[in-house]
Amino acid sequence: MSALLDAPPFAPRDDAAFLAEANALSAIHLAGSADYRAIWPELAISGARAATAAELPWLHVGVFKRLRLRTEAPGVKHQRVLLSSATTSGTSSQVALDEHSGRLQARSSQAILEDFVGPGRRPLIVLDDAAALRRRGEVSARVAAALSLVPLASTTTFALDGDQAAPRWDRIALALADADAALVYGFTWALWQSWARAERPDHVGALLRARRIHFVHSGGWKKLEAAAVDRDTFDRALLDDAGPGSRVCDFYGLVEQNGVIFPLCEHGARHVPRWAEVIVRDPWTLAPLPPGHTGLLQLINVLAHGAPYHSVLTEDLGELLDGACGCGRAGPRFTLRGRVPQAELRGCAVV
Amino acid sequence: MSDRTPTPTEIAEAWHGLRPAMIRERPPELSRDEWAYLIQFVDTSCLRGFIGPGRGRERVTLVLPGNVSLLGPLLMIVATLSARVIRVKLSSRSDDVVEPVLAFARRHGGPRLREVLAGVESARLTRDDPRLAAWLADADVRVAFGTDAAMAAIAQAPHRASSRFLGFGDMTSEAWLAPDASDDVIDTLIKVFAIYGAQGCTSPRRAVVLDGTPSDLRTLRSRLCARWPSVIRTPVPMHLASQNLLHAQLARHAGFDVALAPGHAAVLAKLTKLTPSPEEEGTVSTLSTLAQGPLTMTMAAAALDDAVAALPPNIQTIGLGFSADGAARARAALRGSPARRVVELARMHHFEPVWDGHHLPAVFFDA
Ligand SMILES: [Zn+2]
Repeated sequence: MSALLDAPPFAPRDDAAFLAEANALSAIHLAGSADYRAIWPELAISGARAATAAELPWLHVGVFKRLRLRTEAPGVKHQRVLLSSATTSGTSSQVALDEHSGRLQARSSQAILEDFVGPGRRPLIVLDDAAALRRRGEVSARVAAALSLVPLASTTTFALDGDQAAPRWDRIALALADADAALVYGFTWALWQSWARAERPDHVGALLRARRIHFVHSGGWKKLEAAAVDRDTFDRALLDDAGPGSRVCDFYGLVEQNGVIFPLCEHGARHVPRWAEVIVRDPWTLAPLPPGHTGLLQLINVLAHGAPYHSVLTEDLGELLDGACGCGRAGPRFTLRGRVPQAELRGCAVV
Repeated sequence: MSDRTPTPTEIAEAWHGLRPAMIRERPPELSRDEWAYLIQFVDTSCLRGFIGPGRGRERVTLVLPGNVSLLGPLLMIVATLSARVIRVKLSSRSDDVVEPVLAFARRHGGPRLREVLAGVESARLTRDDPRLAAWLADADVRVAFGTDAAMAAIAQAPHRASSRFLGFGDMTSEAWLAPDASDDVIDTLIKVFAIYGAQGCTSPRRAVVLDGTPSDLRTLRSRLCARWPSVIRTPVPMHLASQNLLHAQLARHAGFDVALAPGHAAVLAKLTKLTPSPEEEGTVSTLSTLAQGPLTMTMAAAALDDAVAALPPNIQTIGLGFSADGAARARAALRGSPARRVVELARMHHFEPVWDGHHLPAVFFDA
C-alpha cells in the first residue's frame, strides 16, 4: 500500500517517503523476479538501497517488448497482460498487471484526472469499440487508458463500432440526455477524425453546446502533424461545439507506467504526482540533467508490484521546468520534447 | 565520346579520375570513413585486381538490401568494369548509399565514366516487382545480399542457363587478438567495429583473446573502454546510445558480463568461456537475436584450437591482431576451417577480388 496516495497528487511532496517506498519496491522485484536479478546482478547481491531517486535501478522501455517480466511476491495476484499498441517494429510492450497494483493505479489515475477535470461522476463517452475489451488475458493500451477514466464515470458508452470512423451519435445522444457534463475520451487522432471533423446531427450539437464537456486525449501527435493540425486548431475544433466551461485535456502516459498519467496543465507543464518521480538523463552518460536541458525521460512510481515497471527509462525526450508553476500545483514538472529519432545502422544481410 | 567500347582498364582509369573530386567533396549520406575507403578503392591499382582475362559478362543485376553497407557501391563499381548493362534493385526503404555514389559519379565523372554509368539503372523495388523478375531473367551475373531464404528465392527466380549467381548471405566475422595486443591493435579493433557495429558481414561481432586468461579479457575490455573516446571522436547518435542501454540490459539478462563503452558507444559483452558447457548451451553460448544489438561486441578468451572449433559455419572473415609469429600460427590453425577470409585486423572490411570464397574476376569475366 502506498501512503503517498492518501494526499492529493500535487500536494507538497515527501521525498524521503517516496524513496523508501521505491527502494522497498525494487527489493520486492529483485527478490521475486529472476529476470530482474539477471539484469541488476550487483544489486541482487549487495541489496544496496538507493540514496536518491536517480540511483534507483531501472529498465529500458525496450525490455518490455522482448521479455515478459513477472514478479512473484506474497500478495501479488497476477491478472491480465497489458499490451501497448505495436510500434513500427511490430512488437508491443507487455506489462503484467496484478490486483493490488490495479487498485493503486486506479486510485492514482482517478486522483490525477479529478485534479484536472474536477470531482463528480458524469457520463463517459469513449471513442473506441467495446469489442476491444473482450480479448481474453490481454488488455490494450487504448482500452487501459479509457478504463482509467471509468472511476469518474456515471455511465460508460463506447461510441465506435468496428473500424468505422463515424461515431454512433444515437448512443452519444442517449448518454448525454440527463447530464449537465460529460467526459469524452479518445486517442488524439481518433478525437480529431471521429469527433472534431465528423458530421454531427444538429440535435447532438445542441446537446453538446448545453453541456460542460471535458475532452481527454492521449497518444501521439504524429498523424496530426502530418495533417498540419496544431494544438490550437485541435482544441478549438473540439470546443466549438461544446458548452461553457468545457476543456481539452491532453495526457501523456506509458503502458509501462500504468496508472500514472501526466495531463498538460493550463501553463503547458506536465506535473509529477507525489507517488511518482521524473528524471531527465543525458543519453550518452545517463547523468541526471538539471531543468532546461533535454534528455531521456526516466519515469518512476511506487504503484507497480506485478512486474518491475516501477522505474523505466523511456525513449521519450523531455526537459524539467524550473521554478513554480502558474497553475499552483507543487512538485517537479516537465515538458515533452519528442522522441529519440530512429535510424538504422548499415549492414549486409537485411532485405 | 568514342565509337568503340572502352576496355576494363580504361574504365578503371575513368573511376580513378574521379578521385580529385572525391577528395574535395563528400556526399552527406556516406560517413568520412566510408568515403575515404571508396577513394582508395577506385584507385586503378586496386580496381585492376578485379579485372579478369577474357570478355566481360554484359548484363549484371544487383539485388541490395535497404541498409546495405559500402559493399553495395563497391560491387556496383566492380560490375561496371565488365558489364554494359547494370541494374541495381534497391530496397523500397530509404537510407541507401548506392544512389548517392552514382549521383556523385555522374555529376563529377569525366565523359568516359558518364558513358559507362549511362548503362546503370537503379530503382527502389519490392522483391515481387515484375521489373526485378525481368532484370534477373536476362542477367549474365546476378548478385544478391540477404537472408539465406531471400537469396534462395532470388537464385531460383527464372534466369538464363549460363547466368552466374553470387550470393552474400548472413555472415559473421571475428577479431582474434593476442593477450598483449598493442595500443595500435586495440585502436584498430575499435575503428573496424565502430563503422558498422555488428551489422556488417565483415564486422567483428566477436573478439577472441587467443590463449588469454579471464583477466586478459577483463584487461582487453578496460583498454577498449579507455581508448574508445580518443579513437572515435564523434558521439554515437542518440538513438544508438539509447539502444545500447537496452542491449546492455538484454545481454546481461542472457548471462553476459556487460560493460558499455564511454558515451554508450558500444556494448561489450564478456563470455566466461567460448565453448559453454552443455547445460549452458543456448543460454550464454551465443547472443541470441533477442539480445544482440547492432553495436554489441561479444568477447571471449580461448585456446587457439578451441577458437577454431567454435567458429560458426557462416564465418566470413577473421581479422588477426598479432605479431608476425602469432599471425602465422593462427593462419596455420585456420587452414581447412570454414573461415572464408583471414586478414589483418585493419583489412577486415577491405573488399578484395576473392570474396566469400568467390573469385570475382572469374565471375564477372569469361576466360
Ligand atoms: Zn502547471
